[in-house]
Amino acid sequence: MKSSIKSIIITVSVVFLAIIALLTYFSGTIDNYLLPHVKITYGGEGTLKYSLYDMSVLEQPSADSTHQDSLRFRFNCDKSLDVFVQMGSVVDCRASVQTAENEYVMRDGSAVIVGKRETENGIECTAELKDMELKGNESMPTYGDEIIIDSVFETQRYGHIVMKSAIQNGSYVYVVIKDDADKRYVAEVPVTILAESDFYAAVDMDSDMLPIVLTCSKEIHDGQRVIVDD
Amino acid sequence: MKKHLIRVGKYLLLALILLLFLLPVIYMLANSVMSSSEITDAYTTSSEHFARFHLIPDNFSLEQYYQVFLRRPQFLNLFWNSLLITVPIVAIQSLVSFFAAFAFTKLKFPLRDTLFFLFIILLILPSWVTMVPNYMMIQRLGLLDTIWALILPSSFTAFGVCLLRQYMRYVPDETIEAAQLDGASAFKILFRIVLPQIKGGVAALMILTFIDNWNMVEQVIIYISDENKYPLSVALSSYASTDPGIIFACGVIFMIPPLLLYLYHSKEFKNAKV
Repeated sequence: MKSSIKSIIITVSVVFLAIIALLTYFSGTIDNYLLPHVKITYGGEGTLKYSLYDMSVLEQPSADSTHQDSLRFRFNCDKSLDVFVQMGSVVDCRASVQTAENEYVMRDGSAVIVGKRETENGIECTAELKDMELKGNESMPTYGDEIIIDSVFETQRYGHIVMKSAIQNGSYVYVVIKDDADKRYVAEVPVTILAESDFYAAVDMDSDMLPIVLTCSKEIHDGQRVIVDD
Repeated sequence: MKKHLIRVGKYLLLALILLLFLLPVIYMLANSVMSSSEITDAYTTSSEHFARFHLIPDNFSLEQYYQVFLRRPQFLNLFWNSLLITVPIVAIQSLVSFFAAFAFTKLKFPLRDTLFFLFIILLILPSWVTMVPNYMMIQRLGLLDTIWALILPSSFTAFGVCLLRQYMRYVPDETIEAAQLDGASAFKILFRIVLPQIKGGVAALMILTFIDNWNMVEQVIIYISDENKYPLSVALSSYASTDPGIIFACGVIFMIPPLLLYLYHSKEFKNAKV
């Protein structure tokens, strides 16, 4: 009886130590398997771009306009795009003129934004046609002609441009930091969104040149250890 | 009837005392199977309130064990550090105490009793008194920040010698003399004649030494600066304030080796007579 209890205790001890030994030996492997894997991106200086494709009709300038001979058109954009469409910015556009055969002749040209006002639906911009390039024997566009706006607007330069998917709840990003033992952790860094396009946002943040978490395999929190996927 | 009532009263009192002694262990076991949020809630208290004391988990969870075994391998490393420090101390101290006790009891040499008296003085000295000389010696030997700084000072203590000497006094001289007459070597006499007769004492010494050094904290803080070499006992105290949930699961794991050692030697320990 006495020896059987002792043998049980020895067995339990051996099993206990073996389990601890195995878990310790494979701790690195287990850890790597269980830790969240993240993909990173680097924020950098740059501009945001916004593509606009719209149609409008050429119209006469208003009575109080200083350029009575100019051709103008109006287009609407979302309030969030206010940052892109600045007074004086150039709009790429093509004019289409309806002919007797119902065919449209397109011309490449540009226009300058000369007016902006807020409306219920957003922002109404007024652009003045200029530098219209004529092709062949096409006639110049005139009032009532349709104009196609196909342009890319660019903002001013910002210090940090990051992908919008990296911004959590619109208020912070996770940056990856490395400790002395080369282990990587995520840290929450608050950001303020200054402007945004479809996929990118210009933000104001304190950390410079740190890798920003783009996607992660599991939910992460501030201070959590992560594995960075190449 | 009165006798019967007194007996019941005695048992109730003993049960109450037993519960009082076991309460920390029960509390630790209960908390180790609670979720971290439950533990945090219980320990995050305002200054006017005490921690919420409850023994039955609201939600049974093995999250703490999962954290210790799979997510925080540093605790497993600390466990091995504890074992790496304690096992050599127990082995060396048992062996040294056994030889020294035999010399002080059975060998006849000049000033034997005076030397033993000096040993007793060492026993009654608080450990803090020897801490500074020990530190200086370890520093001179270049052993600071190594596990030997913990193993060597703890391996040679007067307590083990005194304890085993008391057991050895009851070993009849005749058995040793008979073995000598039969031509047994000194090694054979020690391990085949004397050791089996003081098994209980050696078991008691091993258990007490193991527990004493398993819970080592002060020496580690003084001699070791590299936190990766810390045993679990030090980590438990340092993590207690920041991560109470993990500490309960670690405490349960920390409790297992001394418990197994005690259970293994429980028979000899209980039957040991001084």
